[in-house]
Amino acid sequence: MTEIRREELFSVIRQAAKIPANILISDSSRFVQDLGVDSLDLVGVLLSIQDTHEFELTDDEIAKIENVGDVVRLMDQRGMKLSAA
Amino acid sequence: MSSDRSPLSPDSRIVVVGVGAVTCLGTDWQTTWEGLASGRGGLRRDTERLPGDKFLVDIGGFVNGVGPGTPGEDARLAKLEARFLHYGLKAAEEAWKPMAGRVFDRDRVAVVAASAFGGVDVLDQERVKAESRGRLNLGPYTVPTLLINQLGGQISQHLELYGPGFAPSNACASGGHAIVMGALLLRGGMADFVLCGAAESAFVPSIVNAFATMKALATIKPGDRAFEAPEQASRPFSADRCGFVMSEAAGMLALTTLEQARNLGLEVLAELTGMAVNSDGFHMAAPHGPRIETCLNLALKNSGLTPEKIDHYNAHGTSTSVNDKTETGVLRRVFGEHAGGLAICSIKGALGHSLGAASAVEAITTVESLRRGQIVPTINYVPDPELDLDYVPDRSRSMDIRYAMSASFGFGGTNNALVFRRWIDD
Repeated sequence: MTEIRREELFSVIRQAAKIPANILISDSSRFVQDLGVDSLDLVGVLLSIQDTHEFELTDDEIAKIENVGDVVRLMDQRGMKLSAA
Repeated sequence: MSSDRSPLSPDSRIVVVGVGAVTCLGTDWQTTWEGLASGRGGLRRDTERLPGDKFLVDIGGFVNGVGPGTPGEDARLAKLEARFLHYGLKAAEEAWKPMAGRVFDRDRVAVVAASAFGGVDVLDQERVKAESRGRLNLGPYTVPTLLINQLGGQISQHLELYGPGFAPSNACASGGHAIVMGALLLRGGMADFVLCGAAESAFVPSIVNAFATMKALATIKPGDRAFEAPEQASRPFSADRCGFVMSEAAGMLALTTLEQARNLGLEVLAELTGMAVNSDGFHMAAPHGPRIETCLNLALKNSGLTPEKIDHYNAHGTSTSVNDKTETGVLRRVFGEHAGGLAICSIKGALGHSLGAASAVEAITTVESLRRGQIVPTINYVPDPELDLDYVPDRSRSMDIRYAMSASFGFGGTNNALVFRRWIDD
């Protein structure tokens, strides 16, 4: 089990989609509605997360991602434990 | 004076009402002009932008203070890291400033934004990233950022201009072609206003090194005067010219008809009285004197002028052996006895060669020269016995300029020539 700090994940998301500092990121943040991430941004966000933490998401999994918590869950299923925010 | 009156009606006369530029001499037009007028060179050695293990040259003309990664970076372009987009949008906003607070139809404003290479810097960066992480995926912004027409798209988006959009790509003549196309849209009744020009930043190994391999670039060795003084690497029309020096830049002009300018009470900076574009049909890269000559003659004809009416010529003047010799020969033939009396300058000595953007910045310089009655110098000049025209060396020259021509020529055999007239409201 690899432990990853949540802030680290949030930072990767923020940087990849250029999310302004005044928008808070949490597990419940919805990419489109809350973070202002469009479908193109989301591709970049997921690419960055996969690169940073060296894992692969399937197309089916990607299609179902709506919020940050969905990504946390998929990482958890791959043995990556996200530390408390 | 009366013989200079335009035969065209005000709705066909094209005038310049705004200009904007980002160059290695400054991040706005005013600063760039001051640098040019004072004979300052903007080229420098930069081994961070051009590291020796990746690039065959280390001298260029680099924009400072605009672009991705600079403090206060344009947040609107945060996802679009291609430098040409940042430079082009900044220049477009500057050129469009005179329109602030005016009432006009946004569906009737065209954007013609050109580039030779577009977002190749991002393509290169993403390719390297993908290789280094062992994936085939490139970032999701790569394709939209790479596209040359994205510059027009961003200008349209940020300045809220919704008329026709075109993205001419005509190598080192791109900017001048964009101006011609803008004027045609006005004359064709497809727009009331046009933002036109070009932006370029192509400092990637594959392009720089390919230009160097062609022997088109100045390769400065120890012992060359530019080895210790990199600002002297580009020396148009000079006896020791040894190739062009690549640079990055953007130049944008706001054009409209005289009728619209009057309706909105806009200050006219100069009138575009003539223009021509033609094709060499000759060679993939070499300039072709006879067709360039035709192009200049067509621009004179389009302007209704005889050659001796032109006081000033802002040259393509790349600092390559072949261009400067060919261009001088063309000027001798087109202007005949008047060639010796023509005040010629090349600003590429100061700014290097910004490829697609160069001719837009040169057109702006020509407009400013007419306004101020001042020709900026060709710097780094050492007389070449073979090239014996007046290249306005070293220092600015004040003189009465009525008409001026600016011309540019691109790989692929494509040429343009523009004739501007000092603005006299008649």
